[in-house]
Amino acid sequence: MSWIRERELSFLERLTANILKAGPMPKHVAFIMDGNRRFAQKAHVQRQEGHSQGFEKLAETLRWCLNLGIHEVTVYAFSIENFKRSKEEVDGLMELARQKFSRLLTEQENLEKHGVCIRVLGDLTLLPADLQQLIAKSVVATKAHNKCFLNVCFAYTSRYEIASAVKEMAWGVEQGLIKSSDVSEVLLSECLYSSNSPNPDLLIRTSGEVRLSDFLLWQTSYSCLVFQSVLWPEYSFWNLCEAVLQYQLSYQSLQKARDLHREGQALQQMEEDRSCVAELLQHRGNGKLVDSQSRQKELLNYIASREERVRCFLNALQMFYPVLWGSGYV
Amino acid sequence: MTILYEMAWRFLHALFYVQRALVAWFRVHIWRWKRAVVGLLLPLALGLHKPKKTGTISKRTSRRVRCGADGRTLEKLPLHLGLLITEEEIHFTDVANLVVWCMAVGISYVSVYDNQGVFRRNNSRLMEEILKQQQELLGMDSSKYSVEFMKNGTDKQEHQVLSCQSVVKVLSPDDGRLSIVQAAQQLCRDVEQKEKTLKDINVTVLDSLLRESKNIPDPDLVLKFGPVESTLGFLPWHIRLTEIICLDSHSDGTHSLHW
Repeated sequence: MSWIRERELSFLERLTANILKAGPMPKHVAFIMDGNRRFAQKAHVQRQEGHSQGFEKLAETLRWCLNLGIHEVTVYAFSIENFKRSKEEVDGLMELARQKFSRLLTEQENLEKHGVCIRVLGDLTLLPADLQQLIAKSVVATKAHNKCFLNVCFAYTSRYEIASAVKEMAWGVEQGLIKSSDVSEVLLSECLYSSNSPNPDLLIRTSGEVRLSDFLLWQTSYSCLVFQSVLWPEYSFWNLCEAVLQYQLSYQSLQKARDLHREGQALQQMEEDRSCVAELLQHRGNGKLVDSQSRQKELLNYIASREERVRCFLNALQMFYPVLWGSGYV
Repeated sequence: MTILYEMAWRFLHALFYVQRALVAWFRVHIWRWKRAVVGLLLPLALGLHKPKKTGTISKRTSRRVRCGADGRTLEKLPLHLGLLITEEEIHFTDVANLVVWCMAVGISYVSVYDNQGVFRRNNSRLMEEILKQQQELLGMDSSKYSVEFMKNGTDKQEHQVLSCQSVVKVLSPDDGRLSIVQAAQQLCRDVEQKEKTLKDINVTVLDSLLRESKNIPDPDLVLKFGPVESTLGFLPWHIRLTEIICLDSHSDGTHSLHW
């Protein structure tokens, strides 16, 4: 299959994989596939060839991830900022995308065999119409698969993603589905493009750059960041193992930090709920004092109704999301 | 077979821990040796400063000169430098040293962050340490450098009167995701009260809202101290293009950094 290389690991690679798997393994890995152009320069080939090799490397890396038991991969294929590059390069990349997505659609059997679910995250309205259609078809064709997940960030920046999540919540408020006080970290996460995926455990950036470049800024707050100097088209199984090892070494501290954050989040939500209930009781009450038992009951009722509101809002979002963006309403 | 793999994994990780411990031990000892050498050679080079104690060279002198020297060798200074401490044990004096070094080198904005909120809770203690270290390390030059501490909510527009003025900001995870959520709530409230429409919500609007509360430019560079390979919730929105450099420990003492 063109998107996942059909090649088994060597004996040594399998041995290493088995040893690594004895420890905690990341379930979701994100890649910033940087270095295609530098590779092209180094190998004295066209930039387009560099990007093409980059795609082949992606196919190989997906195979390695599957062998290591990593079932979800997110890749930064094309940033909104990349539109500023030369027309020639941008057109070349769009053409590469067309080829790859078209090819994907002809490999239904293999896709089903591997159970690959492909999602494309980004502001797809910025892409040529025919590419949008190809992408939509690929996503729909693989929607039901659930063995492994590939999220391709195309025409994506994290800030844009966060802003559009805020816009979605504002839509919910406008429609009266939720209140502005229902806006929380959890709800915002549910409105991001990546809401169907857990946060990445590990983020790998190649080519030696040590920036996040507007990629998954919200989702990688507590992820293990590994910056490797190898150029993406030269990425090897050993580079991947090195990154996984780094993840394992930071695992305990990251778990601790995440738990601390979760606790803080829960406390924050409780405080927010309490202050909303206090306000509610103030409005409702005629100067009467409310005993702590009734206050507790009111709090539980409020939490239940908030959760119900949020549930309905998220359902509505699922139903209307494609229509809303297509119509230019938001 | 699984047990064998598990044993191999444990062995591999044990190796790594030993390697880390060795490197850390070496670094401390090499730094001490370096400091001793610099301490001995400096007065010969300068030919002026009398040591406070006979026979030993005050560490302040060597540090002071190094601060200035580092500044001259740095080609491009970041406007805003973030100090991200991921270590469990925090030494306020060492952090204060780092901040004062940043000031001496001419960095306009310095932020200090840890994911447990230790700096936020001990804001005044950190400020005291910084002022103390400023006096100690910069000595007679300290009047040239003034530091302004910023706390959220009570900030007035600061004026860059002196070219050596630095702004120090203490940050915690609340300044990260929580700030974004609060900005989102504000925008939703505006929509609720019909003051804004959906079309008014975009990256620029959200960015300016977040900038309002922080009043500090995006970090150009973050120095991450400690073995945890993560930003641990440090200003997710603002670190879009920030370079992240990983250093081992804030108690290191080696401030000769070049980028």
